[in-house]
Amino acid sequence: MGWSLDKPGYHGGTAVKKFASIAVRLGAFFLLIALIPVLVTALFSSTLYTKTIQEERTEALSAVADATRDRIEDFILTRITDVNALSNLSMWVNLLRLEGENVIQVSQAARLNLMAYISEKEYYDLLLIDLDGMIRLTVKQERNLGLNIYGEELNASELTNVVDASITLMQTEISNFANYSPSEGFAAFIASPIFDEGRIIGSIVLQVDQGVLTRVINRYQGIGETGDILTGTRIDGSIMITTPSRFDPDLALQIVDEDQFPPLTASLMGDQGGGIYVNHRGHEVLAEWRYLPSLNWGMVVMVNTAELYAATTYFFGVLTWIVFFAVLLAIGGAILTYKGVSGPLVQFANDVKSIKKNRLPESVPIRGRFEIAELGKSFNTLLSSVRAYQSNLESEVDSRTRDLKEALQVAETANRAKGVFLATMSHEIRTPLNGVIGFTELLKDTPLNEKQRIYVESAQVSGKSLLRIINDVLDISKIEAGGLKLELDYVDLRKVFRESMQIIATQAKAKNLKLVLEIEAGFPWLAEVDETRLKQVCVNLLSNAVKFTEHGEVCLTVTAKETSDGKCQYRINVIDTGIGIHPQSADKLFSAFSQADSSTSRKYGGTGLGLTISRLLVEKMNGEITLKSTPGNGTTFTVNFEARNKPENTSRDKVMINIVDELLVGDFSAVPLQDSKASSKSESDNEPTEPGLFDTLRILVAEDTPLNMMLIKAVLKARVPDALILEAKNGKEAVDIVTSNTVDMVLMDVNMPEMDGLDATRAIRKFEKENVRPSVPIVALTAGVLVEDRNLALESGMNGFLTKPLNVTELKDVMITLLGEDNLRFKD
Amino acid sequence: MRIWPIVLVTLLLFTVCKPDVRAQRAGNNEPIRVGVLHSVTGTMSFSEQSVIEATMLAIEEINAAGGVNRRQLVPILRDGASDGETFARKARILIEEDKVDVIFGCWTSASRKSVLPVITEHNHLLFYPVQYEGMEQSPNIVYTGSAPNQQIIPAINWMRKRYGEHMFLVGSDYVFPHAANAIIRDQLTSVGGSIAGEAYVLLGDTLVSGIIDEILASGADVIVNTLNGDSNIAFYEALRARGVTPSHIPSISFSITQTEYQIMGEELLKGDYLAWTYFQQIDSEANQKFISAFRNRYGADRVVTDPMEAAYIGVHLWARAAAITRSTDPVSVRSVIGGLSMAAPQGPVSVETRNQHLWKSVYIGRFAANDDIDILWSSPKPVRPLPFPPYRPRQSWEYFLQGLYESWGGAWTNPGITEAQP
Repeated sequence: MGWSLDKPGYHGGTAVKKFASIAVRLGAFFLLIALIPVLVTALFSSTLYTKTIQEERTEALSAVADATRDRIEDFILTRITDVNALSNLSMWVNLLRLEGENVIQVSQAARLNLMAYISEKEYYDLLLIDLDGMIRLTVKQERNLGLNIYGEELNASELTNVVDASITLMQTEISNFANYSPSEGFAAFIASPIFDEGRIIGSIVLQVDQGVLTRVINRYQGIGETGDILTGTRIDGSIMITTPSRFDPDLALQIVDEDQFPPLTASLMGDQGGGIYVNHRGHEVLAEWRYLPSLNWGMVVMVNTAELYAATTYFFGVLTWIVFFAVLLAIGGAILTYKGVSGPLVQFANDVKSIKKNRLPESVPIRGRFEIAELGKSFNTLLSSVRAYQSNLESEVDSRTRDLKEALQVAETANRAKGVFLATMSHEIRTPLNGVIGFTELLKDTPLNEKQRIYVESAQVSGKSLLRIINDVLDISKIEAGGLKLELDYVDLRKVFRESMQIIATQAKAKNLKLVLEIEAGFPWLAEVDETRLKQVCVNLLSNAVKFTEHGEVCLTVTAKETSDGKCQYRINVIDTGIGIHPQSADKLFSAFSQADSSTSRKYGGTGLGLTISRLLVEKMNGEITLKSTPGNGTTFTVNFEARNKPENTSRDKVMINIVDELLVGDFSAVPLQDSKASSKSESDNEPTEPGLFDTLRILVAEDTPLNMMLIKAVLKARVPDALILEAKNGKEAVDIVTSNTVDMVLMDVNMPEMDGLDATRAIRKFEKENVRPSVPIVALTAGVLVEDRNLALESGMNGFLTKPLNVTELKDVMITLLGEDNLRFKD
Repeated sequence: MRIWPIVLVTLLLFTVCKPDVRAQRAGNNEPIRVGVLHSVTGTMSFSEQSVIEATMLAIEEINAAGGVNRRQLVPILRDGASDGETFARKARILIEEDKVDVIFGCWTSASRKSVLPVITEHNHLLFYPVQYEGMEQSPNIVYTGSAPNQQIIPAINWMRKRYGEHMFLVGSDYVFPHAANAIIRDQLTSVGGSIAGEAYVLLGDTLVSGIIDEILASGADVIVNTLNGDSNIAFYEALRARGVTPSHIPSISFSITQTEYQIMGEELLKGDYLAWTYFQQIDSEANQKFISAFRNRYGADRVVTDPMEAAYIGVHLWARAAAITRSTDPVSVRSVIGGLSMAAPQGPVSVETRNQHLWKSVYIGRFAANDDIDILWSSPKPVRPLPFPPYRPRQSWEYFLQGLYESWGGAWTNPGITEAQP
């Protein structure tokens, strides 16, 4: 046996399934587990690193700014201390005490000493100025010597200002750097008053060259390649850059737009701080600004952020690569996991899924190791045992199927034969029966006395009864043999129901039952049905209801509900107030030859075929028939079926409730048998048995069916006129009569209510045995024609066996056999 | 597979481990306790109350901006009750019991000098907001008021040039006037001026008529006034009563602010002079901000004076230093306070590393109409603070002060007993 697998491809249709697969879940899980720590670490470390770096760089730059400020302040302070110390030298007092207001002449040696001092200390020049403002001594002996600081050229110069300030404050002061014309360059002056016994007599001034300070300021240590230091001061409200910029030396001594130098502006207001801003060169810089009190300058130290955070950028780059490789590794891991575990499992699952139910392969391959290989092995073991079982099962099933097929064929053939037989038989029976009915009909019209007329009518009723039974049986066999075809046509349902009611009206009237027909308003009455069959169902149900109802009413209600285009679901309820049916019996009710219990049939008569036929017919109409009943409270039969209808013909009448009383037709003034009780009574009252010649011949007839009783009596009276006929309605009465009277012969029906013929016979035989009485001949009278029936009768103690309808010849034979020819005057 | 718990844990991890270097470093979120030590009662309470207010304003501003190192400041105010010993006792309580990290306080030199040993003993930190005589330099004090060379010397020089070199010195009988006058004497001597006379009034005393006589008799060109408190009212009332007006003999005061001017009124002071490192009238953005903040807080009619501004500067400078060193420990703050600068209402100020005094600008004003003050002169740039005037050796100044202290029986104020003695 070959096996086949679906192509194990991954076509689009499996995409959804793939997503939900263990492989994807496992892969996603793996990725997540692997990447989360990496990403967390990356994010954490980068944030931490960036912050740390920024903070560290800011702090470092701040330290540089502080150091630069302190360096400048120290430089100035040192100069001030120098000048302060210098001013305390008594030589200045002595020099100034020299009379006259002339330029002081000092020896060449002294001048060289002073020169050595100022060059050592990096001063440009030394000036001695008296209280009147005359520059009495300079070391450089430039053009300013002999000039007065309050004179035209120097008045309002930085030199004048600082000398004034130092005298006013009685302390050493430093001037701003400014162009000093006598030196033809930028210079600042440090002035200190000279005290002579508490009195200020002049000032000593040291001139400082701009370059010296510039060198002190512009030390670019710790500020990298892009770092710069700018200083500025306010000149007449504007900001002037005071030292050359590292990248823009020409900026020095330029008046600049203060909007471009916000840190300088801030620091000149005394503020100190740090931050990131875009500098005058358009670079984003981290800046720290400080105020330089000694010079009244602002200072800003700045470094391009690009350089400052280069480490961070590099770190980010490295980190990105690390994360990238981590992701790659994780994906690789996920793929490996897929290949090793999920892949084989998915492949295996696909292979197993594609196995054809009826074509199990010998094994399913699995490409895996360890547990997965184990799984495959176990599965294949299971597969082979299933295959073994399956092949065994198949052959068994085959042989059974063959057997069953044969049996079925036999059964079908038999059934068909039965059907054909029944149909033929029914036909064969019907023909003479019709003759009987026809002739009795004819007979009825001939002049008859009362008695004759009753006999004829009874004969006719029996004939019709038989005909109905035969028709029923024929119907059933026809339907079961599949020979019934519904003749569908659009029919006025109202007419069908009304006619059905009419058919059973006589029956109902006889029992004084009310018949009610209820048809819903707007009932779609024009429906496509088989009129005859529907009527048959209705009549069956109604007649059934009437039969089992003693008092009250029988009601037929009809409702309809539209289901789909042009179709209606019809519901017919037949409701009676009769004896009801026990739920256990309800199921059997629709089976052929079944009544709720056998005694019921004795009491109410009927074949029980009506409901069976109704069921078969309703099923044929694709409907169903159900019943609801509570014993003692009546029964409701419900028929549901669907039929095409013509809605345009829907009745728009009002609710149509027809009390069917008015529809009752005919008036059976002479109903032969109203009910068993009444009939038997009337029979016994109206027809006292006349004693015949053979007074001694006493015949007991035990028969529950009044008609049969009458027939038997009629036959006996006709054939054995001198017999005295005793009647018993059931076995019990028969036993009573036999035990209390002398009876020469008993004609005993087998099926009787209360006590059947067999039991009665046994009771009689028992009584005779106990009382040592001669046994009375008992002849079974039964509709059963089977050998079993005969055997059962003889076993119970009966002496003869007669079948219904009573055959006169047979009766004669049996009577002669049992009573003896001498004792019998039998009219032929 | 339960993925959501893992994602949740991750998010939690992010939240918990959110890197915050500063928060990790700060660690402590406890409020910072700062001491405010001023006279709430006694003769100095009137002056010191406004300094308390300025101090509190600065503390509130700092708290509003997030505090210092993310910690709020909690001021603890102790009353020095205008008494040196009380100041010293309360300083001890602030340090030892209140566990403050800094003290902003004192007005009179007497109170400062009483508190100094306590501060020194604990190696603590005091921000002193009032102009004073100088001659002191403690590593435990940051002096935000002016040193003599930032008030007295420029002012005397300015007066000398305008009104003459013959000056009468009148002052309260405690350490500041004595020291100030010693400097003035030196200064006048240095420029060839002369002292017309020198007189002292016991603190709070109003017996001034004798002094007026002396002044009138001396023919002084200028009266240099270092009187403190109520004596000023008595002095100027007596002066005006004797018909002395500023046009006759102008006076320059070193202890009268605009607050006192509001009380004493134009008839007593208009036309006379005063010198400070801060006037409310200074036209600058920082000053406008300061004044409006103060007035928003304490009332639109309030005036702001030099000691108030100095107190305000002091708190802000301390907060900046604490932020820089990331600590409020006094030693740490002192280590970084030198060189620190800020854009103060008066202009740029900077802490001189060598003596923890401020570089300040000097202003000379004249009492004008409507309780206003006209600023007549200001220093071209902040003046380097020199608590010890440099023309005398430091030891000379210290010797001078020691003499005063001893002459008052171990006090910084003349107790007045000497007068009762013959």
